[in-house]
Amino acid sequence: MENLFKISFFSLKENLKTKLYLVFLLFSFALIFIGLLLTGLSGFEQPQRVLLNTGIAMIELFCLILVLLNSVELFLQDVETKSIYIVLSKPISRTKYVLGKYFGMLLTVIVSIFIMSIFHLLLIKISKWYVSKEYFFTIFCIFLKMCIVSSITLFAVVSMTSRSVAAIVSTLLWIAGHFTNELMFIIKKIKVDVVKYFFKFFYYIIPNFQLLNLKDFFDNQYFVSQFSLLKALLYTCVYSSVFLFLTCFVFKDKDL
Amino acid sequence: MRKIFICLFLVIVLIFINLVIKNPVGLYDEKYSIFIHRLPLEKYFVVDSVGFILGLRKFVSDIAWIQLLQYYGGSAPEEHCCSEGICFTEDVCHAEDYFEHITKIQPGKYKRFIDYCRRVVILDPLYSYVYFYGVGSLAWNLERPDEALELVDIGLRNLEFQKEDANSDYWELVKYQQAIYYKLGGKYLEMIDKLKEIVDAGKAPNMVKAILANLYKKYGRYEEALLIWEELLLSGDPEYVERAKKQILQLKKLIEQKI
Repeated sequence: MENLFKISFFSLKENLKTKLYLVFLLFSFALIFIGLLLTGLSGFEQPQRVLLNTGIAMIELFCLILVLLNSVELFLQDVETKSIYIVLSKPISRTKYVLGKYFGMLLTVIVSIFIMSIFHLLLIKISKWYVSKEYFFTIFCIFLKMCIVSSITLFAVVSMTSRSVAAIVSTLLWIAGHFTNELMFIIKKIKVDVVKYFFKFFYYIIPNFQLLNLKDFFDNQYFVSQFSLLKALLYTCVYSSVFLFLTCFVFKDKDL
Repeated sequence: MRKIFICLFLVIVLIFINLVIKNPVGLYDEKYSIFIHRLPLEKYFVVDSVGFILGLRKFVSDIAWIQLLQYYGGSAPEEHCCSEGICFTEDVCHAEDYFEHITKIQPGKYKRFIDYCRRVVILDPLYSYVYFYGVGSLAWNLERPDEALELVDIGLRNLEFQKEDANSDYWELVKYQQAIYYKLGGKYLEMIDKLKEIVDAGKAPNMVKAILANLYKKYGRYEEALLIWEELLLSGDPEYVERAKKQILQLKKLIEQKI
């Protein structure tokens, strides 16, 4: 367990140290700030909504880019710089190494979400507006989505050992995961049974990110009351565990 | 063989979890599907689609909302403001007191206004304010009650889940619908009462309040018009502050003359 913590914190430190992280963080600040400028464009018509939604969207977008790039980069960098051999030559199992990298990534996401949310809340406060508790649930749901994406990216990078392919696969799954209801709509229109069953299988395999997309309705009490955080948590745990299990499974037999 | 069994087991786990935990919200069921509605403004298709597939539907709807305001606030130079076959030049259309007479002129102006509204509510079907703003503008500013009713129908379909709650936006939209029917039937006093109900509910855009104030003025109910303009002045909305100041002065004079 101690080793797992060490790898996680080392991974966090590595993530935070990269120049890419700093650039993206500054860029996200700029984008959240643009939300404040957009409120000016909307004038007196719903400016608070614009600022809130822009900020939340930018936090999610930044986290997604961070997870995609860092998960891909850090693992392959370890292989290329051969630092992975130093870690694995110690009494640390490959499973612990993968889990350590994963939790390190999640810690980075937590730190980033925290920093960006503070900045966003500050802008909201300056504008003399407020946020409800649903805002924090929404931010938590963004984190849950990142847990799944991170596990998928890690699986993709370990099994495919290619930066671009891993990033593309994860991005496509992210898109498909937000497109599930439209996918079902298409499935219903398909007349050829084989194609229909293939798409249906695909539909039930891919993560349904709409399930965690609280940011699309957090200002609507009716829908919020139907949203179950426990179910969202369970869903995230299952998906992350499956992909982490697969990652460990592939990594165990991998020739480095 | 062991590997295949493990993979099969994991696939079953994923299918099982997707079958057990369905979208608890059902927000994006078929009714809200982007394929059914088809995005109405071709020039924004790429932006809308990218936002949609990245799961940033609400953010893109805000961008669409700002673009709607810019379109409606702009001069729409390709169009003229016409009334009963008489077209006005652009300087008349944009004279300072233009909005006061806006109910009489310019049917046919801002032709794509309803498309802009539809675009926003396709991206975010729960954005009630767009229905209120769009319906108010179409019915009373742009003199296109048919299009206003079309937008009301979209709104009522999308907000149907609120039907049980008497104070919901669904019933607020029904009030707009009733007011439009009164207008179409020529029952202007009933229409004004309905608009008053809408304004009193507190969810109406400032634009609807201004419309009601203008109607009060038109029907000689200066005191009530004055109250609304005073409220608009206090709101600090830059769009209305100057006009509110002017109207307040005018109305005070009219009240004095009346006495």
